[in-house]
Formats: sequence, C-alpha cells, structure tokens
Amino acid sequence: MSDLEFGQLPPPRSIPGERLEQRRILLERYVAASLRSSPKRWWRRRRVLLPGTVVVVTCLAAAGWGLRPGGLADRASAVGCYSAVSLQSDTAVIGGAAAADPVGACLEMWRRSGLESGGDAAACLRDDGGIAVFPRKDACGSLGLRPFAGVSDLGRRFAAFQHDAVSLVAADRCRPRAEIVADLRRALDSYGFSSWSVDDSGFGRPWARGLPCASLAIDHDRSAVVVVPFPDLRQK
Amino acid sequence: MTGESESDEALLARAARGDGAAFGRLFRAHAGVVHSYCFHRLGSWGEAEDATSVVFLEAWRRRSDAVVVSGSLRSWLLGVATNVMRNQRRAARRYDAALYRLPPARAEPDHADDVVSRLDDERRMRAVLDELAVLDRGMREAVVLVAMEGLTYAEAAVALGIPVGTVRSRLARARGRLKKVRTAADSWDLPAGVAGPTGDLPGQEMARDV
Repeated sequence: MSDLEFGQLPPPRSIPGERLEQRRILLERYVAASLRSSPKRWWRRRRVLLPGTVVVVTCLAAAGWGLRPGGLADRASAVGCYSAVSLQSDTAVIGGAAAADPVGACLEMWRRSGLESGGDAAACLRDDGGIAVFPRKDACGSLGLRPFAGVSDLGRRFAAFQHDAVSLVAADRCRPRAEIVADLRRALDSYGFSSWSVDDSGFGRPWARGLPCASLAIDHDRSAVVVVPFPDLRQK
Repeated sequence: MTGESESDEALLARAARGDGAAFGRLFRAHAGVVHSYCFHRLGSWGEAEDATSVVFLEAWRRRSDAVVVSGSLRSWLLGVATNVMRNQRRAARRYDAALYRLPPARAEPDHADDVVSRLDDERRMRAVLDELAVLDRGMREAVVLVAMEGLTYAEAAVALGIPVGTVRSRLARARGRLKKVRTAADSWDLPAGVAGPTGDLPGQEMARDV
C-alpha cells in the first residue's frame, strides 16, 4: 500500500477562528436571505417559464394555422362575391343586408347573372375584416383565410352608421356642403367613431367642376368618410 | 455528526425550514474536513479557504440531494467539494464574491513563523500534486479522498457518485501507475506508516470496508 502514501503531505490546518466565524456569519445570512426571497425565486422561474410559454404558444399557433377558427367581420356593409377561388378574381360587391347571409346573397347574385357555382360556396373573412364569398366550400382553407362566423359589434355599428350616412346624404345631395359635413360629423360621433374624419377636399379639384352636389364614400384605410363631388341630377 | 446532540440530518432539516444558525453549525462541524480536502486538491491555503465557503454555498443550493452516511454529511460534502474543484470558476460564478472572498489576513510580526510554515506547506503540497499529475482526474479524486482524507471505499463511492467497485479499480490503477513512476524516478524514500489523517494505513481502512 505504500504506493498511496505521501510522505510530504503537510499536516492539517484549520481556518483561523476569526475568519471561520466571518465565513459562518456570511453563510448563515445567505441561507436566511435565500429562504426569504421566494418572490425572487418565482421571478427566476418566470424567466424560464415566460420564454417557454411563448415557444409553446407559438408552436400551437403555427400548428393550428390550418384549423383557424372562424372570425367576425368588422366591415359588414358590403360583401364581395368572387368569381373564382382567388382574391384576384372578378368581384361583384353587394351592399345592403348581404352580410346577414353572404353565401345566400352571392349565390342569388351569381344565379341572376347566369353564373353557375354548383350551389357550393364559402364565406371567408378577408385580412382587412371584410367578407368574401368564393364558389367552392373549401375556399377559406385553400386561401389561408378564416371562415366568416358573423359580424362583430364594431362591424354592426359601422354598418348602421353607414346606412344612416347614406340616407342623410341621399335626402338632399345638393344642400350646402358644410351642412352635409356637419351632419356626417355628428353621425360619426354618435356611433362612437370620433377618430374618423370627414373629407370633402375633392370639391377644390379641377375635375370637380360641374359637380356641385354630393355622394358618399368610405375610406377604411384612412378612417375617413369622403364627400365625393356629384352631378346635380335636378338640372336634367 | 456535529457533536452537539443533533445529527447532521436534523440540522439540515432545520436549516431548510429557515434556521440559518443550523446550517452555520453544519459549517462549523465540517469546515475543517472540507478545508483540508480543498487544500489537498488546490495546494493553496488561501484558495482552499475561499473554496470551502463555495462548497457550503453549493451544498445549500443542492441540499435536496444530500446523502447522510452513518449520520454524517461528510462524504456528501466532499462530493460537493469534488464538483466544485472540477470547475471552480463556474461554481464560484454563481455567488457574489463578497460571500466567499474575505480580505487577506493581516501578516503580524508574531505570526511570521506561521506564515513561513504555511508557505512551506504549500510548497510540499505542490510537490505531491505534481506527483499526482500522472493520474487522470478520476484516479486523482479517489486517491485524495481515500489516502489523504481517510474516507472508506463506501464513503468515497458516495462522494464521487460511483460504485464501490469503481473506486477500488481506480485506486488499483492509481497505485500501479504511481509505483511505476516512482520506480522509474528511483528517488523516493517514504517513511513507513505515513498515511491519512486517522493514522490508519489506507490499506487497512480499505480492508475494513470491502
């Protein structure tokens, strides 16, 4: 066993008493602090859990992309009836109450136009919140769109405003423009669209010459109700 | 055991319930053994002192893995120390340096002899470590725990987290390699009976254990 003997091994030495006590005190303080700091330990866990949760949610979202749940339309004042399963295909836009039954409205429109859809159609939600109907049942999935599942509160409110605004302008298209603008402003505010603006800047343009009356357009991208120059039909 | 009526296990349990003083008692009871082991691995009293604090900080962090052998945490603590030695920087990085690094002790004239003898210890320990450098890490750890710290085979197995048979084979290989090197050097003249802290010859200790 002499091969595991070390003749030069120094004798044991203890840590000097004062320093041993200092180290003991530091250690005891650390132990006590680590037991008091359970909120910190939770935070440490959250540092691990939060990124983990983000990863899991992202993965689930990615996995569920093909099974996207139906969505509610924010733009319900019109329905786009697409002639093929493509957002670039010819589109007929139907207003009025078409949002109540988009598929029925488009099938009826196609039938009246002499187009055959075979009775198959699907209503989908466009990325801009509008309703799009295509002549095939699996169109939403193949185009990566969510199926249309109804109209949101916002969509209903805006459709109601739009209905009122159209009536308001159509009642007298040729009255003073300032009155029309003021009425539209009040209507917007009453329906809760205070952030929207009323734009009648088209009346100053050269092309508006001879168009003294007003029509209406909605510019969702700019959140603007546009008062469009319109001919005075009373003169004819 | 701590020698203050309570077992290591009971003290650790009390510490885990929020009694910092109980962990302080464990520190007082085992700091000497851990300090000695750290010196035998590092060859510097100063580094061994800091490492001792890190070992106990790590022991606190890993307290749920504690193993009590014959009522004592000594083997497990030396196992924690072994892991700390394997990667001192990583282990120390977990803690604020203020927790384990004390200002150096003032060298007072009365203690000049002590300083000299400490330096001599370190010189001698470095020579031993140079000799052990021919062994791989596993063999070196087994040799220090059994031959220098006086652990039994079973205790060394607990400390290293390996089977007893592996401890035995590592020691056998270490013995063979050291013998070979010493024979080649032909310069060793070891006094008979020099062994671990208990005074037992390592061979006798091992024989009891197997």
